[in-house]
Formats: sequence, structure tokens, C-alpha cells
Amino acid sequence: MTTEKIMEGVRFGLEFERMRLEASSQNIARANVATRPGELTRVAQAVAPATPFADALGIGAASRHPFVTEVAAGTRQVHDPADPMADAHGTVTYPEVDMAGEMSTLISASRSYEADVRAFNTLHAMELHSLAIGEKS
Amino acid sequence: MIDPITLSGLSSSELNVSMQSITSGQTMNFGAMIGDGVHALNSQLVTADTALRAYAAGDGPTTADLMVTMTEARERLQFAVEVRNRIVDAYQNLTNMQI
Repeated sequence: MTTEKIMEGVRFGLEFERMRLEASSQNIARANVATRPGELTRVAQAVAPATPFADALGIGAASRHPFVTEVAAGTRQVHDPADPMADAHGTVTYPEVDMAGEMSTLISASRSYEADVRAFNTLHAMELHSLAIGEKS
Repeated sequence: MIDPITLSGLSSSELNVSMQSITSGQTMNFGAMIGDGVHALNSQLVTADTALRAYAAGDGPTTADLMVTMTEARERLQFAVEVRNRIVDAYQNLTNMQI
């Protein structure tokens, strides 16, 4: 049934947008949290897994779920010897988070989520309308 | 828990006829077809019910997932009701026929 395929797509879209929002809010939350000296700085990123080859052949029934993963990020160095997280040179390291970028990701995820819901509602309305085909008025 | 819907007029062997035999051009068993549909509807309703319970308990699916599942189940139920309406309509057409 084609409708189920569309439903599956909408489900995936909703989940992925939620993951994107999650990754963005995590990054915003940790933008001003110093990393321990010598530790790698990381930021979160939402990932939509690609379709496996077996899936494309139609022999695998693996369900795809988007997930949030961590990727290496640049650093932002601030000189503050008073900070307990400062290294030997008095430098504190923060992950480099592009605030404007994260904010636009938030808005974009929110809007895409709305679009997904709208698509679902439209499909639902069309299904209900099709049930009325041939109805006596 | 939603009670399973049963068809009292049909025997269990009739209900167990798979869609395969219906589509393979053998004798078209209308009762079996309806029975299959009711079974599918029931399992979907039970799935939605289970998801709702898990959600209420706090360890279930996300809100969006739950709403999609419940909407799907409702759509199926409305489809079944529509089929029932058409059948009743056809039946009334037959009973009102002048001979």
C-alpha cells in the first residue's frame, strides 16, 4: 500500500527533524562549557543513515533510524588563568560552536517538522475524502 | 485493553483462509475476506492501544510516533466502518427488491 510508504517517510522525517533539534540544542548548551585540557572538543550532529545495499535490493528489512552522533570540532581559546579548567598557559578551551548556524538549524528543523506534519495531515484528509467516494449525498 | 473483535457467524477455519487463496482465482470467499480485514483492523487497534499504554507509562514512543500510529489505526477503523455501511446498503437494496 502506497499510503503506508508515505506514512513511513513522514515518520522518518519527524524523527530526523527532532534529532536535528536535539543536536543543535546540545551544541548551544555546551558552547560555553570548557573542555578539560588535552581533551578533544566535540559537537553533536544528527545523522540520517543511508539506505543499505541489501535494502535497495529488497532482501533486507532493516529499519532506518536517524541518530545523534559526535564529531570532532574546532576550539575557541580564551585566556583566563583564574579558571580551574585552564591549562599550563592559562588558556581555557571551548568547543567552537557557530551560534548563528545553530539557531538557523533550530528554525529550519522546526519549520521542516511543521511541513512534515502538514504533509501527514494532508494525506489523512485525502484518505478520508476518498472514503466518501460514491457516497449518497 | 481493547477486546478482540470476533465474528460469531463465521467458523474459525473460515477465518483462517489466507488472502492467497482469495487472490489466486479460486472460489472467492467473501466471509474469509471480511474476516481477514477484521483481523488486520483488530491487530492495528491493539498496536495503537499498546503504544498508547507505553506512552502513558513513560517509556513508550515519541509523541509524534504515537499520534501517527493512532491516526493510522483510526483511518483503518473508519475504512472498516465505511465498508460495513456499503454492505448494509447493498443488503437493504436486496431486501427492498420487488419480486
